[in-house]
Amino acid sequence: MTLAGAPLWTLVLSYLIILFGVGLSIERRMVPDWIINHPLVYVLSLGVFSGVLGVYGASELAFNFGYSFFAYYVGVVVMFAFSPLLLAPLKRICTLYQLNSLADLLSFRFRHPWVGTAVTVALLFSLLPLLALQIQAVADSAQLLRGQTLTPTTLQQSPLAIMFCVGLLGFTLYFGTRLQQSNSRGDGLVGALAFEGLVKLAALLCVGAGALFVVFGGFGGLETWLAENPQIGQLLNVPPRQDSSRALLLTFFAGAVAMPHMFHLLFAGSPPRGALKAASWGVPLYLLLLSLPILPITWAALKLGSDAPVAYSALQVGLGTGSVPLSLIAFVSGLAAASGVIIVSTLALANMCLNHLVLPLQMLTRGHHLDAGHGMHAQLNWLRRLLICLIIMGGYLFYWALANRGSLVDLGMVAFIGTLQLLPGILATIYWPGANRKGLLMGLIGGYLIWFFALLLPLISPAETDFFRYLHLHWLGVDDSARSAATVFSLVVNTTLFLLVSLFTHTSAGEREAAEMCSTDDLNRPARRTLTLNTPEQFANSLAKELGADSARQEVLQALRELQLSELESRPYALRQLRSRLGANLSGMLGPNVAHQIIQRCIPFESDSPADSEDINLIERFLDTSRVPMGGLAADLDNLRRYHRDLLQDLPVGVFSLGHDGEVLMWNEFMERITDSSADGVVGSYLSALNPQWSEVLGHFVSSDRETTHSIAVENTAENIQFPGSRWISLHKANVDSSSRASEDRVIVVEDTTDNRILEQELLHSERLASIGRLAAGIAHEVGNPITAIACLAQNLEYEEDVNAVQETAAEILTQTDRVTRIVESLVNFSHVGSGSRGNAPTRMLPLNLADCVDEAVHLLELDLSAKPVQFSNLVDREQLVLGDSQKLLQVFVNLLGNARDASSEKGLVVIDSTSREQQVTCTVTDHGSGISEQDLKQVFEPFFTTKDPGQGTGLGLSLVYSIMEDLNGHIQLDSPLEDGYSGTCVTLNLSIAEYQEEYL
Amino acid sequence: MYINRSMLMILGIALVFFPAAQGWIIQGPEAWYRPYLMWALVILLAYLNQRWWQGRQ
Repeated sequence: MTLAGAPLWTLVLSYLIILFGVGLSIERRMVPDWIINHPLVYVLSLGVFSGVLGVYGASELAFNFGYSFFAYYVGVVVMFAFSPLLLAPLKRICTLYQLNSLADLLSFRFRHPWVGTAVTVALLFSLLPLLALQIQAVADSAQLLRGQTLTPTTLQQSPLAIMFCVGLLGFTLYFGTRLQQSNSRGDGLVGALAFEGLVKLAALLCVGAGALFVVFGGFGGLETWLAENPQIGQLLNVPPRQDSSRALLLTFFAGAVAMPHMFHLLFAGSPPRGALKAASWGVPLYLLLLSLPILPITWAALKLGSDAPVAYSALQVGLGTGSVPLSLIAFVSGLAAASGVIIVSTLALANMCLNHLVLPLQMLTRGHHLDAGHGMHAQLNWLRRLLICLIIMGGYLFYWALANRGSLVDLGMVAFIGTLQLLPGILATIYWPGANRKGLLMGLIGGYLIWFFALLLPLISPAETDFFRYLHLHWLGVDDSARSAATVFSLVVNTTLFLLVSLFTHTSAGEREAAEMCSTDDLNRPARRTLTLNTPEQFANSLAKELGADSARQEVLQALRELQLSELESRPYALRQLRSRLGANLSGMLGPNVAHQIIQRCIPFESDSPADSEDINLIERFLDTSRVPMGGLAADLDNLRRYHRDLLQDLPVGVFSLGHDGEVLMWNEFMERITDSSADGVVGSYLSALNPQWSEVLGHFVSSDRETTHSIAVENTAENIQFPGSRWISLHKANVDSSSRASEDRVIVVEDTTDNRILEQELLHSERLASIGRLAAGIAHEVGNPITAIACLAQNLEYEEDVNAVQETAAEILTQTDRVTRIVESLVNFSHVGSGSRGNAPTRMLPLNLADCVDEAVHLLELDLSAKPVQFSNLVDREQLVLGDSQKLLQVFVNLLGNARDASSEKGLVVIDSTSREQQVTCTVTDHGSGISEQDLKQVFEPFFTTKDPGQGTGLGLSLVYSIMEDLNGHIQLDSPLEDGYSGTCVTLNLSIAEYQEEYL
Repeated sequence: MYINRSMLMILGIALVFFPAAQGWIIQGPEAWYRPYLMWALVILLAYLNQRWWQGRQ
């Protein structure tokens, strides 16, 4: 049976059009999102691993290696079933740092552009046989269907191969360059590949069913045929050699991740959530289904007998039975497999070449500047298009040059063994922090030289085929195929060189840092350094020099959107995040090396900014969200961390910490409540980002030298918050000393003392009332005398007729009433001290005459007739004005003078004096009484401490005086005995007016 | 650095004993389906493993 060329051309064209239609309909969202994002689509797209080698070549593998052909599948199955060991960590790194190819990953880990370049070149050479294999399979299939034998002449004249390549070129150009970021897989492309995976599976199962039921007549027929042909069983039951089995297993194990098309689909872009987990069993299941028909197809082809290569057994089923549908279905399965591999491999290789060959070369020739003018994205797309054309053309030329000198398995194995050389580097990326680029490059050079001479060269030049086999037989004395020997030998040399050179050469700090970032439990701890740019707009302007104005702005806006930040963002923490995200996004587009250079140049850190401090809050967040399971000591430490964190968070006082640069690192829940500022908004910013009231109070305290400050009033203006209105707070701060950091952080404790303040004010009021009570007798006497005098004068007035005498009497009455008024005013004044709403009325700082205030206090005290008589001498400068609250200062003097009087002997002298110096007034109250013992001096300001007899004092006087002086921004000091050695006490009050006068006035 | 030790150990054992296991699995002319049974078992274990991890997280 033969087919004409036209139907085959039509079939290829129709298939490519359908593929294009599927991709386009997904791209234009004509397919529901739940289908596009379903893990099954991801799993089916990963079926691209099984290219022509899996569809056609598996029969040849089974024929050559017997049951060992399962190694092709087992390698991939092991890789996916054990995905937590390799795939999951790689996915984490690639997603976090936007690494879209193996060259990106290894150059990121080993921190040198040469690594990326070397890997790209190595993969280019490794993939050429794979691309040629796909083209050859389609061309061969067409030749076989047309009834032609496979000779170099027919191969090179096959126009179908060219048409196939052109069709795929169009598809790849359309879907591969529509995306601005090379790390994006594109839903259309993934959907089309999933469709291909489905077509491939369905087609192969159909052919398998055809082989079973048409060729053998069912399972019974197959069993009978196998029983009648025991040589078939023996052919399959070739005892596997240990090294060849392991070599096959390792080869395909590595291929599952090292093949550019697999890496691209596995890690580039953002696979749906949970997709990799589904793939851990979904891909093995897919491959199991795909492998089921292989043996029946191979056996059917053997039964039918044919001169065609065994690799094309699937086609032989249709051709041998004369079934056109079966033949076409088998052809479509190969077509789907080949097109999938070519499209994704070309795309992945084009991105690698762009990022690791073209752009570095471009930067080198332009003085390390990208200088993309106004259209970086357009420029990159054109370059990518050009590279896609060159790679597909390279694949076709390789196929043309080979001219059927290698079977499908030969070509496939050369490609897979080539990518196997990257396995040591991949494993070291995650599991060996000591590995360095010198070791990697030496290992790759050694491994690839052997691969080139032992495998690639013999493919191109058949005369050299047995060269390495000869060497291997003589050196190792093992009888095996040259391919298996070369695989083992190249891998051993590669790994040995990698290990030895890495062990005996220096691993740079950058490589160690990258190794830590790539380790499986890394938490991504960027250094907390100060940026030279302060706004996203500045970022865009700076990047414009490299990327062009439009592209730079577009990238900055994109990064802001992804981070959900505003364009007006100015928090240092957020800007560092923006810088990281820009670096990652540019890495996805330009490769990690070029992106790193651009970011370092355009958005630099301050040169004197220490790099030893890490974003503690980020570490905390990553630890909380990280799903890395912990055990042993790590789990214990994590539990301890959580306990301490909860302890700080739930403290009934506010706690926050500041970095050396003033950035807020921690903000506990109490701080959130009292300031009405969430930790998310505050952490990572400066205190100036808080509302003005809190910003001023906290900022002033942090910048001051004082370690503690009491009773600061803050007004919470917001409504519907837990702590509305005026709050009184005490602040304490301490340095957080750490041996691991050069700079010190600070921790600040904010204590809400509003309740204490209210209680204090109530006590103050009680104390005042008690004082008034003590003054009651004196008041009665003082008021009684003028009243008696007024009564007498009024009686006299009744009988007075002389106008002058009446006027004189009236004047006398007025004098007496003035006296009463003054007493009453003093009392009222005294009784109103601090009696504002809730007792926490703010202090009113106004200029007042200090001498008058002292006079009024003396006058009040003189009302107390029960007290011992002492002499008060007011020597305060009559012109001296101080800034204060007159009522509160009155209470200070009443308490101080009252204490001085109580301590003095009868008719003792209490002197009140003042001196002024610069902007400060020092007022002293000196008595020559009994004085205060050294022990009591330490306690006199404590509430309820008194040396008086029970019932004589409340013990609140000096405590309140201290509190009032704090409010007045003043200072109080007690000295006893006096400086001249005499007994007595000197109370010194400092009233500072210079610093706050202008502000409060 | 965290390494899933149990999984790594299983992988190491599988690699070391792969040739021996392969020889045993495909022993006998009628045992062509035996690899598929082992394969299905691996799929089941991988499925259960990922369910277990999901439950743990």
